[in-house]
Amino acid sequence: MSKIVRTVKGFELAFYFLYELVISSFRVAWEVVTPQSYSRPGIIAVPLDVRSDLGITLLANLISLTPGSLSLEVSADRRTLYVHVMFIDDADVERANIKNNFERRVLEVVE
Amino acid sequence: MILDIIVAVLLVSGGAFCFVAGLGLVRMQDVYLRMHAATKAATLGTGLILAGVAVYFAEVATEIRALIAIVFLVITAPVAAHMIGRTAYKNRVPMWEGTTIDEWDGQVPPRADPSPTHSERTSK
Amino acid sequence: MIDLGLGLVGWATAVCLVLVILGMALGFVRMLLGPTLPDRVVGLDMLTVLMVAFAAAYAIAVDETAFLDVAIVLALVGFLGTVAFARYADRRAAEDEAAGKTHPTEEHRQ
Repeated sequence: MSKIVRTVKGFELAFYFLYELVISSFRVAWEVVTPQSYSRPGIIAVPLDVRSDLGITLLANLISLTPGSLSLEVSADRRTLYVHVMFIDDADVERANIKNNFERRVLEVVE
Repeated sequence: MILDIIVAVLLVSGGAFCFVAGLGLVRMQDVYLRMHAATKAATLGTGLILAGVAVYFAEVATEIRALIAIVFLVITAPVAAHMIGRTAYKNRVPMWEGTTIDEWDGQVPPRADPSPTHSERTSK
Repeated sequence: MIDLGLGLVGWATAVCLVLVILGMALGFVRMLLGPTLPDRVVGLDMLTVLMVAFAAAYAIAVDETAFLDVAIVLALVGFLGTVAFARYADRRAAEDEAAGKTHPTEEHRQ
């Protein structure tokens, strides 16, 4: 992939990330401020398609910086990322959400 | 005047997020949920306040310093959260009983003593 | 509103400083309550991040850009402190386990 396309995709990732950061910040803030608790936390395993160190680091940090999800550990064979998620309705939906949004965009930028 | 309004909005919203971070730290049920509320809301709030500083002091040297501070925070915050979270899980800090799913269970290297697994402790 | 000669930015800074201090107080409460070491480390981590925010807001309050340098240094040192604490907790758990002791966090369990 050419450098220009990669740079454009990088900016796209940055803006998508900022959007996601603001949206989920408000969601978490709402959860904190209102007396009822809507949170259904849990740890999900996300199978990784990203292989490079840079890609995994970038993906894990982006997930961690998004309120409502927090990457805890990469498995020893570097094929699974364990993510603590604050609002789980369906584990498979959350997994697909991370794979289709963050990981796809990270893949486009670094690999 | 418009710049003043932007600065004021950035400062107040940043301060509000910092306060929410503290509130979340006290109100949330377990250490993982506290980290969600605390680390990231505090980082976002501090980032907003630093952005306000960058807008207020309209000089390049200050803006670069504010930007450097934001970049440091954004790089270090997820690493710190990741390290605390991993340590907490490996130390078997119990999770809140409302936790719905733990797919990491059993993947942690086994301990020398036959202690109960994480899910057995948290699912009671 | 009472006119204290603060202006819009002055009021905003004052509100911001108060909110940050309240957040710091709550973080300190969590540091005191625990109940486990990681809880206290989370509290400490948030306190240092809020100190950065306070230094930045204070730079506006006193109109002195030097406080931004304080903010940068605090951001870096706070990160090092958090990582050191996390490593320490990890190491202590491993050593206690090797010595066959019950884990320190177990005593504090709710």
